Amino acid sequence: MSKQHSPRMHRALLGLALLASTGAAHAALVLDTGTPGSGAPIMLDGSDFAAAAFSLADGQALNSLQAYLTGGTVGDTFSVALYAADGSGSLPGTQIGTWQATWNGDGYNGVSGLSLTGLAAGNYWAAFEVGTDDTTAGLELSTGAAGGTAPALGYAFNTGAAYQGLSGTTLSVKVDAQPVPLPASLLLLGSGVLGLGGRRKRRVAQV
Amino acid sequence: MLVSQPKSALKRLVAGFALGTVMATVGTAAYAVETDPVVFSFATVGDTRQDPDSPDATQILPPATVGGKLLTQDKIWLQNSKAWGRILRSVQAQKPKMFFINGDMIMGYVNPVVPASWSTAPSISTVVNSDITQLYVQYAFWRGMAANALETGTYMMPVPGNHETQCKNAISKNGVACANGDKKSTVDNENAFRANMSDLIGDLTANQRFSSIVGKTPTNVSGLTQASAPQTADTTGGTDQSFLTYSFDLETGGAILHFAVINTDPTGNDGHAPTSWLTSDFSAAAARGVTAGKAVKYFVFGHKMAFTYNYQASGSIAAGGLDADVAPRNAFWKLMAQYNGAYFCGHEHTTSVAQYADPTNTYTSKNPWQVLVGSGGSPFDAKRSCAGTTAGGAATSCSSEPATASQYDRWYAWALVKVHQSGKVDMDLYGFSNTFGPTTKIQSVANFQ
Repeated sequence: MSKQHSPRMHRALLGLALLASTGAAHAALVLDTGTPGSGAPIMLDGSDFAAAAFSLADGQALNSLQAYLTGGTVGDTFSVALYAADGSGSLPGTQIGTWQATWNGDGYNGVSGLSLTGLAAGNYWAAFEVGTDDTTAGLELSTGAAGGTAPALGYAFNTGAAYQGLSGTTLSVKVDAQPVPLPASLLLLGSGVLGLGGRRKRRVAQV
Repeated sequence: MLVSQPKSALKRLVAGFALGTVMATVGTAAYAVETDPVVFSFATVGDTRQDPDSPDATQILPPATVGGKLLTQDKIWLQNSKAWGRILRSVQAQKPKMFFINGDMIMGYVNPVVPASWSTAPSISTVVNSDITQLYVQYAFWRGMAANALETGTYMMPVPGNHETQCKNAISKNGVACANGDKKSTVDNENAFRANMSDLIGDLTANQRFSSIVGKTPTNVSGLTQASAPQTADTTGGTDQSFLTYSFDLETGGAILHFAVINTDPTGNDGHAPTSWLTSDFSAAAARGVTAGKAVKYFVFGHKMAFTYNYQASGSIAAGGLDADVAPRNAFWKLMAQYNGAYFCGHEHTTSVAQYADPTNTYTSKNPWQVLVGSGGSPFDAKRSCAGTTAGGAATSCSSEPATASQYDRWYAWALVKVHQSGKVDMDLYGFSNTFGPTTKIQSVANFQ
């Protein structure tokens, strides 16, 4: 008896398991440069920006873009930007979006709670900037990060004209992503579809 | 097959939900209130001028562009416009209320007099290339570069340096020998400084824009008249030092900030600080502090350093600042130690932040800070050695970076001083490498004053 229903049950359970696992997907760091180092920090201000590159797989949604920032005034704002890699892949290219963030104290600061979908697989840059609407007079970005789980593909800085490659140091940056989340209603819909499919198959077998 | 149908439909649904439109929401977070906020800040640097004859090797452009020489703009107007322009941008972004420039803003060193030969009508070329025209052109270019800072909330305060006040025969092109000897200050050069900078200094009392930019009104302004300024010899009977040495107060919540700008190369007494004048000036400021019940913070800005910094990795270096005459230097530093003043200077084209004890051992409770920031664009004192010359006179090869005492000795750098509500003062040193890398925080001193 159980042996007879096993393949059908197996497929149904597998389908539900897939849907369930997709809906409750775990966030993963796609950029994690590790423990902040003790090197001289580089500046973020109205004329000094910095960025780090990371890779995104197909179907991933960005959750947060953060950098280890110190030396600010609590409540001051700065900007976090996302760029696609340029043609050479070695520098930030087209800007995809920018968000204002608030500096809350020494540590990782940036934007979180993003649900940024629709990004094609490829290389991107998380950039930390200060725009004309921002209030900070300067933040310090920690350098010398080491031991991260997802090292940056590259670093860049911008002193007013354009981004240029930064070598010889590492920056403390984290980017968090997860598989594109499915709405709960989609999970219910999937269950129903599977159920209908199973019922139709049983009817065909009875005929 | 039956199972695959809903899977395909599901794929289409998922794709529909994840259409190429990028959408995001941003979380918000609560944050704490700053308990001791910064209520006033100022930046300082010195020595932005370029040197047409011996620029730093890193400033020489490839032969393919301009024949292996300086950027033409910098060769004409004698600024390191790339370094100085970037320092200006970064300082403006840091939003200090004031920016003190510790001398040698221009190449100068000329003899701004009208030669006797001009009694017959000179040619346009003679006039244009004369010392006085070149001097005023250099001032004007510097003022033009700095003008935008005042529009973005940072007031520029000039400090005279030896390139502004002195005359050097080898630089002068008008065929008239320097009045007080070679490489000595002249009244004509001091007058030129007043003519080109006194509007900024005089606004301490005229207040056309000072208060609207700085957010505070200066009080107890001294040194804008011959009566209140020191004389050359730092006693009486010398030449007028008004607008070259001056002082004023700015009051914050927790402290009186007393600023004194000094000419360290007055005519007839080159290489000396006006210590007698400063003694009276500090004493009066201290009395005001007692009256107000507030701490007084003494900030002094001059060109020549009180203690020469040895930037070399090995070997000694000759005293090249106020310390070339030890006894007067000791008297100056004794005064600084008495009042726990901080001295910001330039002259050496490098950067060093260090404490020095009172050489007379009179006031030993505090070792005043000397903040040397002669790193605003002039050729670094720690030089690359270059050899060979092209037909155009440029070096054909230069050595790699020289060994130095500090990794930052060949960086362009400036200091930012932050005064907190409580009266606590912090100082940070910022800069970037001579290859123009990212702006970096080089050094930080908490409780600087």
